[in-house]
Amino acid sequence: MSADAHHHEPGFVGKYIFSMDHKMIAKQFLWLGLVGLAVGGLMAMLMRWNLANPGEAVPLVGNMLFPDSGGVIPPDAYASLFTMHGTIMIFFAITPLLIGCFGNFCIPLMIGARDMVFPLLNMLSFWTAALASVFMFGSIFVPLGGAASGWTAYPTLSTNVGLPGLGMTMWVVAIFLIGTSSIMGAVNYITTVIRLRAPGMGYFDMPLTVWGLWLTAILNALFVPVIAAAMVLLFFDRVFGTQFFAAGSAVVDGTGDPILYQHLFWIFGHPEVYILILPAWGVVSDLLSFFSRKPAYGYKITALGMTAVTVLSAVVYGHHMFSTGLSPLLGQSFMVLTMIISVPAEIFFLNWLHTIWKGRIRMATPMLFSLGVVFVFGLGGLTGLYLASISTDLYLHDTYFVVGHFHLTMAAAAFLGFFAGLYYWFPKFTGRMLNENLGKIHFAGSIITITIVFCGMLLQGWAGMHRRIYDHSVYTYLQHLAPMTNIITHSALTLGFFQLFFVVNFFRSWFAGEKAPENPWQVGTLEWATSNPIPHGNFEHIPVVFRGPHEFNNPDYAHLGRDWVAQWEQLPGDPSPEERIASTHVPAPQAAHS
Amino acid sequence: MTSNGSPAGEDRWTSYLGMVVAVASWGMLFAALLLSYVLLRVQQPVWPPLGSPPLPLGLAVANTAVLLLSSVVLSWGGRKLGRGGREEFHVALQWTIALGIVFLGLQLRLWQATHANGLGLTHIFGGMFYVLTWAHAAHIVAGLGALLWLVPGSRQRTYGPERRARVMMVSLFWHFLDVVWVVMFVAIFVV
Ligand SMILES: [Cu+2]
Repeated sequence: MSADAHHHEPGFVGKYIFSMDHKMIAKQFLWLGLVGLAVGGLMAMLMRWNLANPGEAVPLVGNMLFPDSGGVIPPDAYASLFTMHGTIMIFFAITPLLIGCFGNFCIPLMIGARDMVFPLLNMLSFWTAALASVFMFGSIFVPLGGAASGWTAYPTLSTNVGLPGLGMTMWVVAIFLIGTSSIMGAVNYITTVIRLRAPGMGYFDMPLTVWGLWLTAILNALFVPVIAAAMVLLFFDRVFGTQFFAAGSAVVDGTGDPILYQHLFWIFGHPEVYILILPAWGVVSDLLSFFSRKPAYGYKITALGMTAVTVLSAVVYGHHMFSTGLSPLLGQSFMVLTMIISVPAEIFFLNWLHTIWKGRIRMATPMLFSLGVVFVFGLGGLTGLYLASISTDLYLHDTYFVVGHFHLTMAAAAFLGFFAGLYYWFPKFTGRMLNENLGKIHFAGSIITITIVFCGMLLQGWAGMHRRIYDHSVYTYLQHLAPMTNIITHSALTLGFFQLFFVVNFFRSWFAGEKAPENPWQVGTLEWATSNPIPHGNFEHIPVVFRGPHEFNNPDYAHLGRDWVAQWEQLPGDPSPEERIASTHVPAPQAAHS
Repeated sequence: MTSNGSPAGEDRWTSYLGMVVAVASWGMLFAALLLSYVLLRVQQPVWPPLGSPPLPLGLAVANTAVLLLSSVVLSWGGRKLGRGGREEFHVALQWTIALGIVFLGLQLRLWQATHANGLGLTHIFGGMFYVLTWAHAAHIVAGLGALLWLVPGSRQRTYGPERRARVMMVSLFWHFLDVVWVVMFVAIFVV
C-alpha cells in the first residue's frame, strides 16, 4: 500500500484528541506535564510557607484550601503535600515533559523517521497517562485525603494500618497506570530507534539527545515493571487483606516484610533517577556543542559513558537502604558500585567542559539553561558522594542534605534541561520563537533562586535538620536554623514568581510570537531538514545521512561561508548515498507508518 | 501497518522486535513477583510455614503438562506455516486454544481445592500463591484473546508478512507464559 492511501484528513477528534501523530502526542504530553509542573510547584510553595511560618495561615489561598483549620496547613495535609509534590513532579511533570514530550517529538524527527513504529500504541500510551492523572489528581479530593507516605510509599505507613483512606489506594492505581504508559512508550522508542533510522545513520551518528532518550526507554522497559509488581502487592495488601508488607502485631498469621517493599521500590527507584535525568543529559550534550559552535568533545565517549551509567544503574540500588540493617558486606558492595558509577558520569561531565572550552559561544536562552544544568548537576553529583559512602550516609540519611542533593541532580537539572530543550525546539514545535529577553529573565531568576534553595537545604541537612518534620520550631537544637529556613522559603517563592515570565512568554509566543526562520539556530540535525509547519509524514523525502550531528567550524568546509554543515548535506568528497549506506549498514527506512 | 517502498519482510521483524521488548518488560514483572516470593520464603524457618494446608500437586502437574503441550502444538503449527502449511497451522491454533482453556479450567479446580483446604489470602504463603497464579492466569486470558484474534485470518489464502508477524508475536507471548508457568510451578510446588 502506498503512503498516499493514508493521507485522508482526520477530523477534529482524530487530529487533536485521539491523534496517532507523534507530534500531536508530544504536544498532549507537553500540556499534561506543564499542568503537573504547575500543581507540583504550587504544592512545594505551600510546604515552604509552612516550614518558615509554622502555625500561620497561608495568605490569599489558605482559607480556600484549608477552611477547617482557619487557613493553616494541618500536619496530615502537610504530609500529603510533600507526598504529592514528589509524586506529581516525578511521574506527572518530568516524565511527560522530558520523556513523553521530547521523546515523541525528537526521536522520529532527529533520526529521520515519518513517525513512531507503533502509532496506535503511542496514542494508548498518552491516554493511559491521562487516565493515571485522573486517579492521581482525583486522589487528593476523596475522604481522608490523598496519599501521605512520601513518594516512596514505604509500608507499613502506606498499608491500611497507616493510611486507611481511598486516596492512597488511588495513588497505587495511578502509579501502576503511569508505569504502563511509560512501558508502552518505551517499547515504541526502543524499536523506533533500532529500526527507523534514516539511511546512512549509524548509532554513532545519532544526536546525543536521541541517545539519552533511547537509554531512558531501555531503563523504563526493564525497571518500571518492578515497581508495577510492588504496586500489585501493595494493592493486594490494601484491598484483599494480604500481609506481604505487614509485620509485627498487625499480622494475623505468617509474617510479611516491610523491607521487601524497599528492595522492590529501589530496584526500580535508582534506575528511575537516571530515567529522569538521561534525556536532559542528552539534550545538554547536544546544545553545548550547538551553541559553542564546536563538535561535542568525545562524542563517542559521552554516548558510551551514558550507556555505562545505564548499565551500572541496575546494580547500585542498595545505597538507599544503608540504614535498614542491610548486611555490611552487601552495603559495602553497593557503596563501591555507587562510587564506580560516578566515574563514567564524571567523564562525560568533563567532555561537556571540553566542548565549551574555547568555543565561539552564543549565549542564547537554550545555552544559558544548558550551562545551568552543568552547574546544578555538578553540585548535585559531588554531594552524592557523601551519600554513597556508608559512614557519612548514616548521619545524613533522611536529612535535608538528601533533599538538596537529589533536587540538584535530578529535579533542578531535569527542570533546567527541559527548559533548555523547550526554548530550543519551540520554533520547530510551533513555528514561532520564544522571546529571548523574557527567556533570559526567566533563566537568571531561576538559576539564582534554585542555587540558594537547594544549597541552603544541603547546609541545613549537614546541620542535622530532618527532612520530614512538620514544625521544626519545637526542636531546640534546630531553632538556630530558622533564619536559613526563611531565606530558603523566600527564594523558593521567588523561584515560583520567575516562572510567570515563562508562562507569559509561552502563551504569547505560541499564538503571536515572532515567526521562526527555517533553521533558527543554524544546526544540522535532521529535524531542521524539514519545513515549518512540519508536513504530514515529517519529510518529503527521507534524507540520507552523511555525517554526525555536531559538524561545526570544520576547516575542510570553510569555503562554504558558514560554520556548520548539515547531516543530510552531500558535499564534494562525501561518498555517494549508496556507498554511505553500504558502509554504515543502515539501509532505506524499513517501515514507515503514516 | 504499511511499508513505504521497503522490502516486504522487514515490517515483520520490526513488529517482532517490539514484542521482544514488551516480553522483556513482562519478564521483569514476573521476575519481581518471584523475587518477592523468594525473599519472603528465605525469612521463614520452614516453608510453607507450619500449619499451611497441603497443595494439590497432582492437579498442578496435569496443568503444567497441558500448557507445555499447547506450546509444543503451537510451535509445530508455526513451523508448518513457515513451509506453507496453512491447514496444519489452523488446526494447531485451535488445539492450542483448546489446551489453553483446559489449563484455565484446571487452574480453577486448583484454586477451589486450595480454598477448600483453607489456604487463604491473609496467609503469607497463600497470598503469594494467589498473586502469582492470578497474575499468570490473567495473562493467559490475554494470550487466549490474542490466539483467537489469529483464527479468522488463519484460513485465508494470502498469508502476507503482516499476518506472519502477528503469528510470530502471539507465539512468542504464549511460549513466554509457558516458561513463566514452569518457573512458578518449580518455585511453588517442587523446591
Ligand atoms: Cu540511587
